[in-house]
Amino acid sequence: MKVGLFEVFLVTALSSLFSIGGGNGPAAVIQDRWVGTGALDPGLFAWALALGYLSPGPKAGFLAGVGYYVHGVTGAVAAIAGITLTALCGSAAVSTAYRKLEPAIARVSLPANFVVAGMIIAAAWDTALPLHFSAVEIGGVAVVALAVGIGDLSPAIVVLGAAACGALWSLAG
Amino acid sequence: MDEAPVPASYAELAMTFLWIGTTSFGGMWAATRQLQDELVFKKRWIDVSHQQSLMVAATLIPAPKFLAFGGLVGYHLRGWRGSVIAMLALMMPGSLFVLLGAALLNPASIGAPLAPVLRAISIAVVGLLLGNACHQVKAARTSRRKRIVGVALTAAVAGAAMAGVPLLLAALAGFAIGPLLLGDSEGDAP
Repeated sequence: MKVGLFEVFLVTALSSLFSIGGGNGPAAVIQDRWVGTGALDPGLFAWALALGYLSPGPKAGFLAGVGYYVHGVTGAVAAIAGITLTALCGSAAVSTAYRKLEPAIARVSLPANFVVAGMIIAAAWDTALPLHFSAVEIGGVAVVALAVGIGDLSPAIVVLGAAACGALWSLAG
Repeated sequence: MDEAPVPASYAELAMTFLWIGTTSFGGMWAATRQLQDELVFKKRWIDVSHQQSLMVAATLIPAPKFLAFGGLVGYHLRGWRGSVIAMLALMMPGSLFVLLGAALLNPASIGAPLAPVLRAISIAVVGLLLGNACHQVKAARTSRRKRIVGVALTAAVAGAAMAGVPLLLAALAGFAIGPLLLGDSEGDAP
């Protein structure tokens, strides 16, 4: 195990803080802390993310896969505990002090959209870098990015489509 | 958020959110109608306007929105224990699905036959991340001028991180500078 159990808990809890404004803030933090440092293979990270897109309920379920890859089943439990703790604290704080907290959170909610977008781009870059994509594959990335970003294509359809293409590729090869 | 809720037992709370977590896809906003059916009409724990205010409040919490919504409903009905139960029940189906997928279809153990599938999915995930970044920018409801400034902020955070500045440091700098550049109003006319 390259990553300790407490670190799994701590990093997932920290990553949750970057969910404000929505998006894949946690994925960017995981990419930075574990994929970027070699603790988690970029292919496995992508696989966990893909499973998260295909699963029901909150997409943060991908953290169970990430936790499993870095520290086994207990790592998966620690990852879920980490993200749940942050949400619990947030729920309690917002429930009890909604009106007081609202202005402070509203102050960062607009910049958060742009900052988190920057974090996601950096995560995409760092995920792609070790995979050494060919020109055709970079074209594929661009097509998917446009289809999702502009065409609003469902992530689940993208992942299933990619898996089907990969399976055909495997059969042809 | 002051209405007296219809009493809900911990077991009911767990079962309801387990069902929602098993049958909803696409995140909190995509599940709006289903949440309404379950929480407003079937269980009568909250009314429609309360559901909407909790969904908005969930976006203010620095946590995945769907999870935060479950936590808020649980907290509203049964305090912090209810919050924990609702969130864990909501997370459990998806997490188990991912965990089983990670364990049973582990690319490292299956090896060669799955390699092209994993490669194709890696390409898709990188594209998805970039597409999501685009969505994130589109989701910011603000004026054209502030959007341009915001996109520059996005580029600065991404560029700094890609140039080797630690991601969290780049993000924190963005959060510190962002409100100064963009102000605190999200509701500017686009």
